[in-house]
Amino acid sequence: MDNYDKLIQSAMVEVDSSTSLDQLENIRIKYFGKNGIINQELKLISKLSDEEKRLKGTELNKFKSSFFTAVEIKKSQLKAFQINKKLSEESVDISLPARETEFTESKLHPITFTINEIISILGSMGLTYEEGPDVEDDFHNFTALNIPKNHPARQMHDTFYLGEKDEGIVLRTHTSPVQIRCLRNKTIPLGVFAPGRTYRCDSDITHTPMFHQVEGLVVDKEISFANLKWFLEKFCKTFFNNDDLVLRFRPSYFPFTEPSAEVDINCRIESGKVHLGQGDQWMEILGCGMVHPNVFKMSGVKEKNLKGFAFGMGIERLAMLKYGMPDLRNFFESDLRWLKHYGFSFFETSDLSWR
Amino acid sequence: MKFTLGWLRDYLEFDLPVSELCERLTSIGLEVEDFFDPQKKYKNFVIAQIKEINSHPNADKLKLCKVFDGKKELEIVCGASNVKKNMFVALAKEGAIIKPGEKNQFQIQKNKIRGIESNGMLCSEEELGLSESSDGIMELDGSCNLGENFGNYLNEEELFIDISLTPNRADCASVYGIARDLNASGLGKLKQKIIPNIKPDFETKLDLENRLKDSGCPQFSVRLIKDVENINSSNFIVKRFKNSDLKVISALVDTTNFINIDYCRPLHVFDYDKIEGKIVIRYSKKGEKFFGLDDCEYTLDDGMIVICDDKKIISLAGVLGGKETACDEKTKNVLIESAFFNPDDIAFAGRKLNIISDARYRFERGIDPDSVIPGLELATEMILKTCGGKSGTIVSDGIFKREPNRINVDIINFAEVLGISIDKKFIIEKLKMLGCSVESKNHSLVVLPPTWRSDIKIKEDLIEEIARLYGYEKIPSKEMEISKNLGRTTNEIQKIRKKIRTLLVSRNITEIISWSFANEKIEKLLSAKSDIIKIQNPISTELSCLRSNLVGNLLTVIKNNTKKYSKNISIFELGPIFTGCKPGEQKDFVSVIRSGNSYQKNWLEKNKSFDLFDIKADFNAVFKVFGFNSSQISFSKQSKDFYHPGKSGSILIGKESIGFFGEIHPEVLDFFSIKEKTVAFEINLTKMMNYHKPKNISKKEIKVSQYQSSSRDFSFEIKQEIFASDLISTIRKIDKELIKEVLVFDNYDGDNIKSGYRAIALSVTIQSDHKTLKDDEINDISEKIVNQINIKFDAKQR
Repeated sequence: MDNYDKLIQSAMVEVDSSTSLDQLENIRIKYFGKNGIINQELKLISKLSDEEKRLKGTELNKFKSSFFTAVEIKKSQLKAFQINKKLSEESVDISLPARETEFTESKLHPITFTINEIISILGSMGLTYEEGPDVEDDFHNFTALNIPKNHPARQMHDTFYLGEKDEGIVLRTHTSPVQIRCLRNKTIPLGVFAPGRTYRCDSDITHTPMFHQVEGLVVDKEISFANLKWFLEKFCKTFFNNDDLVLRFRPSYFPFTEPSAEVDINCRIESGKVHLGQGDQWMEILGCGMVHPNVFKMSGVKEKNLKGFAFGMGIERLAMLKYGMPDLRNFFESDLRWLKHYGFSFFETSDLSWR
Repeated sequence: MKFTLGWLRDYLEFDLPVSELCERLTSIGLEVEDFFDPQKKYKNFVIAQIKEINSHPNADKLKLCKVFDGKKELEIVCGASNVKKNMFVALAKEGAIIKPGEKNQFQIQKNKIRGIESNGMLCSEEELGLSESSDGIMELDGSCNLGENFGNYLNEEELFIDISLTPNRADCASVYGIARDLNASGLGKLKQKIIPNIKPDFETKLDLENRLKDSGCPQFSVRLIKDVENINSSNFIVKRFKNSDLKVISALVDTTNFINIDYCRPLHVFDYDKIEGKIVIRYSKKGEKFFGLDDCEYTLDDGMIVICDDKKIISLAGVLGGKETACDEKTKNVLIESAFFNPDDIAFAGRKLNIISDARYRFERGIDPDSVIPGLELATEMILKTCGGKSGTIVSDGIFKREPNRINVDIINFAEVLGISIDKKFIIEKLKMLGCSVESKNHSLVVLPPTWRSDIKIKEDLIEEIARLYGYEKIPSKEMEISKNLGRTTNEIQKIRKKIRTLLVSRNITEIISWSFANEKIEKLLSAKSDIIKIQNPISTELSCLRSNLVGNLLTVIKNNTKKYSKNISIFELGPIFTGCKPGEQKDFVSVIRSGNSYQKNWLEKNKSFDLFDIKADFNAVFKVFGFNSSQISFSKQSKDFYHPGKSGSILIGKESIGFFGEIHPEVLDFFSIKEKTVAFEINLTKMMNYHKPKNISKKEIKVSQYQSSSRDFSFEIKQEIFASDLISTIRKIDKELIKEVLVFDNYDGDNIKSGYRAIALSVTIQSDHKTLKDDEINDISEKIVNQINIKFDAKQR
């Protein structure tokens, strides 16, 4: 009996003082291996009396369970020690720069993003996205829009001419020719908008030879100027995300609408910064009106007594007012630093329901 | 159109501040661009009186003035020598801004001058912005009220309004017309213009032939005034002209300019003694010369209206007078011309010769044909008054009467267009105030617009007149439904464009938008075609034609950015390129360019410059947007000249080329001074759309294999010119069901390979959807791969 207690004690000391998993395993083999001390003991058991067998068996089992508990505890201690040691050797300078993929650095052009926003709003208001060519003929760009030759309004459009002299091929000076194309090709009632590139032979601080406009056209039997006012108020308030916006409709002149209006929105300009929807200053943002009967006539529309409204606005201007770019010319200079600053990441949404 | 407030008051009695007047003008469609607002400009400037003057204890030249501003006395230090006791002065109080907007602008503050506190400044005319330079402070006359804003003291000839006229409103290119329109809007009281009826002193004998009675000049009238003295205009006219931006020349010329702006009646005065022989009105012939009042010689085209004598062209009708018959200080006998010219002819001549004049501006917008004779009478009256002389009879060749437009309009039409019903009485009253004659029937009107409103032609024009006088702001907003929503906003190409843009940005490529224009030099360098689409009137040589590709502009952007910003650049543009100069001869293209290194310098990766295979990954991604995977496109080595001949190709679908890709040719890079290796692709999206089939919204069921997959590696020695892509597609075809993937993991030509050959290593993944494949079955496929490649490409396995 005594030597068991001693055996237990010495085994526990051995387990406890082991310094590696290998050493621990050797201790296990020493006691419980095939030729280990305990197996040797078990071989002797058969020679004992039943009573002694029972007692010795109990003793051995007790020893076995204490031994393995101690080994497991030691094993996990040694493992933790080993891992910690390894980890401490692997330490890095966490302040080193990241492996940048820079995907968030590249941007959509602000004009693209603004057009996407316009598509989302006008689409939700029931209009369809239509397009027309950049190169236009005199008929679509002027004549059908009730701008005859020598009309002073033609000079307000500094037109780029292409092709042979007097052939009447131009770069469209506005998106309005799309009105004519839609009236000629589509059935009425009609609700369309057409964003796109437009061109005027003009270049200074507030003009670039190419810029973008969006045209809108709604035609039906019963459409009134009051509807036009509602439509544009809704569009502007949604686009600028500002319910306090006040629109001022002011009589103006476009050959292809009658009555015609220019629309201003209220703002406060303070040290060069524009605050929309407050203050008593006005900022012009678009032109609009009721479709001139000559436009229906020139487009070959057969239906009688149609009414419609049309509007057109500059996309750069909308973008500048909403996002604060100070200078129009930067839009087309393609300075990547400007684009990175004013552009939009692919994960930013132009969908108005996520405003 | 700029005029003084005093000028407007000649025809309109009104009582409201100029700022409110301007709001009214804008609200009726006469947009005010600028105006002199005395209340605003002279905020904190008041009328005051000097009560006491003492000398400054610390400075000889300064004086201490006690000034009464209507409420209290203020101590002011002043250096002007003309200060007097009881003098009325303009006092700039604390907060007043002197010369706002100018370089030497400053704000008045309380401060000590040589130890004595001064509470403001007594102002000179210059400091008040009323003259360029002045001596001493401005002395006001006693008619003013102490303590009032200094603006109230100003004469209304100092205050101007500048309006931006829309081209339809020639009638308002006159102060009288503006007064009439304001009055129609319900403002003030209109003073009718009175046309005199001058009794002639003698009969004018004149040889006059108007050959354009039936075309360009329906009416031409003149009157001779003898024995005039062409003196300087009165100070009153000078002041009014100065603040209306009109040039002061001489009494005779100023008279015509006055009536032009006052009454929208362009006139011309000839020095009668400089006219040689008969006066003829005719169209010019190409090559004829004309020497204008502006000292420029013009070479005329066919079909410009000219007024000639026996020797020369004496006037370019309705546009510019001639130098040789101009009135000067010696003029004794003056011939006044008043005519009606065809607006189109005037516009044609003015535009062709690029002459801008007040006369042209009005003629081409359409003046009142009935104003020819009244214009002569008004001018005669003014000339006789200022220059003296005796007037002759009026001589005319051609009399023009325009048939008035009769416009029928139903009262209901106003409500139909505007969305609000407007009272019939209001409509009739307003139309009459505009000068229309109106016959009223039950529910409709017959309207004859006045002769000065040639812009009113149809009932919609009348509706606009009523709308603007009613006030656009009073028309309510009415909700509406777009009655035909087609169920879609965008079509397939529009959707594709958005997807491609988003995709490319997500691949770390920045979008640019560049001009549709191109530099002719660059077009010639990059375009295979010789016919460049030239713009007749380009804005500069850099933008002289339409672009036939996107690459030129993208390279220019890289060039500009490498200088200022970074050498590692990835950009794209999606937009139109032009194939001809007819409408519709344009295609949608997308092009990506990558230049420099694919990473910025960093501690993790070795620098690697962009190469062909980066750009391939970019366009493979674009093809995925169309539902194409890389196995569905093929290549040919034929590409464009601006690419590296060995590292470029065209992208094919079937046999059709839909784009190009490759490294940019070093000589082209050199032209753009780009030092870094640069790769690009261009895809014709318009062509691609022919291959695009919109996908079903509902997705096909996916079957994923639950069985083990195996992979086998192969290495073949192939001829250099064989495409790896052909190897891959051959292998795929061997068993479309079991061969899931073929990857290239090595491509090698070097020491152990015979020349003209290279080694290519492929890894093939084999897997069944139905069972675990046995070794035999896998070996069978491997054998087939080796055999097929051997047969088809004469390639041995290594």
